[in-house]
Amino acid sequence: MHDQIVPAGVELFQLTSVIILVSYFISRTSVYYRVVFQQGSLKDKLLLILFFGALSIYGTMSGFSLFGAQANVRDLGPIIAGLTCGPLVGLGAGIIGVLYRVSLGGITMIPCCLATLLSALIAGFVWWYHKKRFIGTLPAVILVLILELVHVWLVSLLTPDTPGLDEILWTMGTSGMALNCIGMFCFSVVFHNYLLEKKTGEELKRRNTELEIAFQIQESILPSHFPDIQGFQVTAYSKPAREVGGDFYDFIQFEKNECGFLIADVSGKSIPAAIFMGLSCMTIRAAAEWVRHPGKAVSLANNLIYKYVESGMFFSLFYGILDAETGNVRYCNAGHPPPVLVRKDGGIQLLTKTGKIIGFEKDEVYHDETVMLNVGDLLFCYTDGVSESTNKEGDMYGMPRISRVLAEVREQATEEVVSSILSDISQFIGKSPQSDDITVLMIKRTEL
Amino acid sequence: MEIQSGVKDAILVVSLQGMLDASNADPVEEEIVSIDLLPLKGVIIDLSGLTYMSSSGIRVLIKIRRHLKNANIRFAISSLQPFVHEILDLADLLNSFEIYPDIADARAAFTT
Repeated sequence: MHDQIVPAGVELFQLTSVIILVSYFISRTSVYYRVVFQQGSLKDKLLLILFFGALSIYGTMSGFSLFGAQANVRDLGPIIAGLTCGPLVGLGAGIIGVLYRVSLGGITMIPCCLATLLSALIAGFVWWYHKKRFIGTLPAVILVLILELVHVWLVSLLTPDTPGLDEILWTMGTSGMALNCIGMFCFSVVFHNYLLEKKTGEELKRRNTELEIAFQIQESILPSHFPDIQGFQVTAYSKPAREVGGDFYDFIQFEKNECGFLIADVSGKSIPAAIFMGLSCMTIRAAAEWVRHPGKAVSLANNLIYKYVESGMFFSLFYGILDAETGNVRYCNAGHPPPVLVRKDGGIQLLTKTGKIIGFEKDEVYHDETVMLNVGDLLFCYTDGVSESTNKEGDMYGMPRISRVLAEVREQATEEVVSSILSDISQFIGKSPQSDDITVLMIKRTEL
Repeated sequence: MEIQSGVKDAILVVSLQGMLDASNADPVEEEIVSIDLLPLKGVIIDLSGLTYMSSSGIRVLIKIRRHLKNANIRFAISSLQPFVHEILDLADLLNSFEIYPDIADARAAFTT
């Protein structure tokens, strides 16, 4: 008997290899994709029934005969179909496999057919019970083992008086079980990889969409044009980094020659940051319209943000109101990198913080400071993406360099000053990627 | 970013090593916030091993601070390097955290 088992085992091993190839092939088709992810039409399911039915027939044909009993992997196709596509496809494939088995006849025909149909149905039920998802490698292999035991039990139950039945069952049962389990294991590995590939692809797609949405939100918030203030040049620029989003600037034109301007950096990245940025922008804008004092407006915005926003979201803000008649600027710096005031003669003054970042503490009181912009003076506001631009040696661009470049180019028009700073940053970081949003806002008092 | 933590005398010390920026702020925060606070009387975050911290690092510290405040557990940060000190100063938060030169000082403050 052992002489028969070895070559037959080799044959069935070859058969299992075919099943792996077939699994690989079918899992790459769009029909299978649609059915596995529950988007399949009836036509898709019929195609898969034919496919897995053919696999079942092939499992029978390539099996081997042992004392009139077939040891084979007929059940595997319908079980795989049931476990990944549901009871309909499983049972359909099972029926096709069974019809072929009926045509062969033999003493174990009835129990074998029953076992195949039962296996397909149970596999389909397991899929349904597992929220219409594949149960995973180990559970699937265990299930196959159980179903093959049921198969053997059905044969022994329905063909009781066959001479030498115990030996047939032993041979057929063990080799059948082992090969079906190996087949299922191989399929599971292929299928698992397939799911992983799909998941990674979907996540990448979703992530790109998210980034796109974040960019759009960000873009829609930034003002499309700058205010026209007599005696002043105004410009601003923002370049978002790919991963991080959340810088914004805004201008608020009040009556009587007064113009509000602000620059801010919100915490977080991607969509949450973009949404928080929108919210922050609206809040500070509303507060600024409500009270015409930077400190009071920022205090109000802080309380609103603290009250209504999830803990841990905060933003740094520099908000100033320019009186275009006098050149006087009242400002409030809520934990924002200090804007640089470059005097006409090249002198530097930093407008350092006057309060904490917004959203940190309830009832925080923010105060105003004032500074005078004389003819030829330049006020340069920026976010930490500028000062913390890092080169490949790990050095940061830093405040001293910002001041130095500004002092050098202070007599140029604002747009040229911005270009000079940006190209200097770009030269400094070299090939290192931009790690944070870079945003600048600049006001210059020109000759009257 | 590497996170090492250990509890001694009901004080949890969390050491952060490496860069703390937007790319890893969320997992770092989740890991710390998910720690079982019940048996603790204090948490010290040791920043001596940080090589870089962006403003996202502040967010992590703020969230932890609020989380521990709600649970009525004392919170301190220790071993601030100059750049961390500068970032906290910029955000005007130096007075908002208990800050100690090293872990031993923070422990001593918690036990007295």
